[in-house]
Amino acid sequence: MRSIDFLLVIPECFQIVLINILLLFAICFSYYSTENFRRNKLNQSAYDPFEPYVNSPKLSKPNTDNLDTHPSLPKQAVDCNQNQFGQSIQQNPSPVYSQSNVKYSAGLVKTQTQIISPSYAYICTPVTLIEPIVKLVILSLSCCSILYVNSPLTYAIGLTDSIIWDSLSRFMSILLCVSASASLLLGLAAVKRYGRYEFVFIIWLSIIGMLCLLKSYNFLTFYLSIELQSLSFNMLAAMRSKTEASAEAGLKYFILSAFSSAILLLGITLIYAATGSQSFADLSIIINYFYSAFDNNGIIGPELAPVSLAIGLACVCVSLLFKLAAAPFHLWVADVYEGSPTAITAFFAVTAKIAAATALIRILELHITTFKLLPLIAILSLVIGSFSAMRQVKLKRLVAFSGVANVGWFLLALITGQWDLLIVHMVVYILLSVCLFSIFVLPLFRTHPNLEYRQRVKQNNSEHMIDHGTDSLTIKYISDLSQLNKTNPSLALAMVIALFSLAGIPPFAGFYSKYLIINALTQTEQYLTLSIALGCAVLSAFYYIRVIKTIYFSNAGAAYTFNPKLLTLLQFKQANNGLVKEINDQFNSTFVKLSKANAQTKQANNNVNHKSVSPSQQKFKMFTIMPVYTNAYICALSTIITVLFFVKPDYIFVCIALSQ
Amino acid sequence: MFDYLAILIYLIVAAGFAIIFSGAAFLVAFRRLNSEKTAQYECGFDPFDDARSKFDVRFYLVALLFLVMDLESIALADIGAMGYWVGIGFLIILTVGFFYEWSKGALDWA
Repeated sequence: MRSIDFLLVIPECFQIVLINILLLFAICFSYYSTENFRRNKLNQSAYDPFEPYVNSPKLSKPNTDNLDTHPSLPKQAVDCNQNQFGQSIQQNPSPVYSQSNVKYSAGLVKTQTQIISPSYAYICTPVTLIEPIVKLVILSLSCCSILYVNSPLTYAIGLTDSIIWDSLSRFMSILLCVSASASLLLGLAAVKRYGRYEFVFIIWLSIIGMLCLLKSYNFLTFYLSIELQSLSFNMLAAMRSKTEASAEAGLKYFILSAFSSAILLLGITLIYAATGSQSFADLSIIINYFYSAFDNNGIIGPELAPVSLAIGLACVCVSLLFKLAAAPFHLWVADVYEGSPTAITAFFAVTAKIAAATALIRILELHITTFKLLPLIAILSLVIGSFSAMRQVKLKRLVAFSGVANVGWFLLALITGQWDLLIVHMVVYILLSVCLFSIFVLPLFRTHPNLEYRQRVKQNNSEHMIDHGTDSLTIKYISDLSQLNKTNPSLALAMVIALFSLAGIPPFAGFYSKYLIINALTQTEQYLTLSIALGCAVLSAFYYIRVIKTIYFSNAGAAYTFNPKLLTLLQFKQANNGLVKEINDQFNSTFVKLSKANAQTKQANNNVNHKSVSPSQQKFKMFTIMPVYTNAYICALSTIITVLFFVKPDYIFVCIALSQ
Repeated sequence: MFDYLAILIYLIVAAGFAIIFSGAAFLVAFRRLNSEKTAQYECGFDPFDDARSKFDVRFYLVALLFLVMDLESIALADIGAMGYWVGIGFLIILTVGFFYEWSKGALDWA
């Protein structure tokens, strides 16, 4: 290893050094302001969107005959478990936070020990520490992408044949850094509620793992990078381990990823046994030797290739297809995406496919002709993705299965032998995922204080009987999006553009990328695959447009909204104009008073928040310190880019040129 | 035959060490037994309990940390001029991790 090889890995070394420095910073500074930090208050505020209403002074009880109940529902007696509007307050058992015993540990650092109760065993960190670290991570990722853009090398193999740097690596690294920083920015508001800073470093480590994977040219580097990425993803899926869903998702992902890593190791072992080398370069020479199509004298040919080589390659590809969520290996995606916290799902959906697809390209460009099952896997992904997505009622599962279908399109692009189309389709898919998830991570607010009314609305909106004991903080069901055009018209428009683009409707970029793939399929004359692909495109359009129908055309009412200022539904507003105005004024005045009262305890928060937020929005600081503005900007940007793709098709050729 | 003399000396010295240590303990030490000393030893667990008893998850944590630090101690071996700096880099990164685990209290129990 020569010192010139460091030129190839400077961005990763830079990231590793930064990770260590920021981790030390986070550890050292996480003890100094724990006195101001009240875990109880955080828990209460985090899980009860209307917590300020609980503490607000008692208003004169308004006439709730028309407001509270649907005409057909019985009137509810006032319960001591409800506040003045008949909302049932969800009382969370507050965790045991005993007196912290400060104890000196070898004089190095003050450790605070406390009675370790089952609710949480880690030392609390202040919420204010998370946001600057995440912003620094985003900054370092952008600097990394700039480093990749301006790299002086065009083609290099270094570190004793273990790292390759060509335009594919370069473009995918830039794409990965940009998409990862976008997903971090989206999830910033949500992850502040987790109360721990470690997940940022785990995300960062997984990004480093993926960056090394994009460059790997040796099976050892390949395996280590995949393991780093997989282990980090396992931890991320189980991040909110107190919730059942997150723990289950983490468990499922762990089992599947351990299994796929075992298959990967088997494949690597078999390839090493057959060829005696770990390097992809030697592998390409040997495969060309064995599977060369132009050799007809019968001395060498596929018959003489060792079987272990073929099985080894198949095992490696299968493992990568696990990571990519292709069809027979897609069963984990739905549960993991659904159970993980939404910000983490955004990160998964946006970044995991880049690394796996690039690794698949590197392995497959050696022996694409020998992997005869790839069209079958592509068709299976398309069909299973389309049919499964039609039955989904939950949004994240829908996104997961539509991801499976899009992986089918990626594999179709691979079949034709033109890797550029895969990259084009992936760029479009990532932009749309960013757009969709920028809407999904937004916190949900209730439109109506009565839980039964909301349940009735949800039952009317969906064909399935849904039993909700509680309301979740972010979107869970498709019917939660109902009447978005009334509560938040711009977000509805953004979703329409994103969904039309995913469905492949012409003015948008999704159509263009699918058209290129279909074009390539006709050029290579794979008509059976092509017809199945077209059929599945039509089928997938159905479930995308069903979401649009829920947004615009559901007339049974809206249970939730993204708009924190929207207290009641439109029809109620018109009926009770004066009453609602009075309530609004009273709420605003209490908000202003409460925000002033809480100003001392939220000093740290106020110092961080530089945006000017109206007083009524300051109450929701726990959710949206970076309020919906950022998500809206990202959403708008990605929709504009999807529209621009059609207007200026030259952008696509820039992608193609860069990936050469 | 004198090629193997070293092995003979090694054998004699090793056997001598073993005999001296055990013999001295046998001759000099006294035995006062109680129930705790004669009981079977199973690393602190109850030997007559269910084989599948619950145990603390901190054992697992200690095992993981031991694994990583053990590999680090092997990586610090002398590999050469470049290997020295690789070892130093590994050491620094793992020291940050060690600082993290110490401050989080992962070492407080064990």
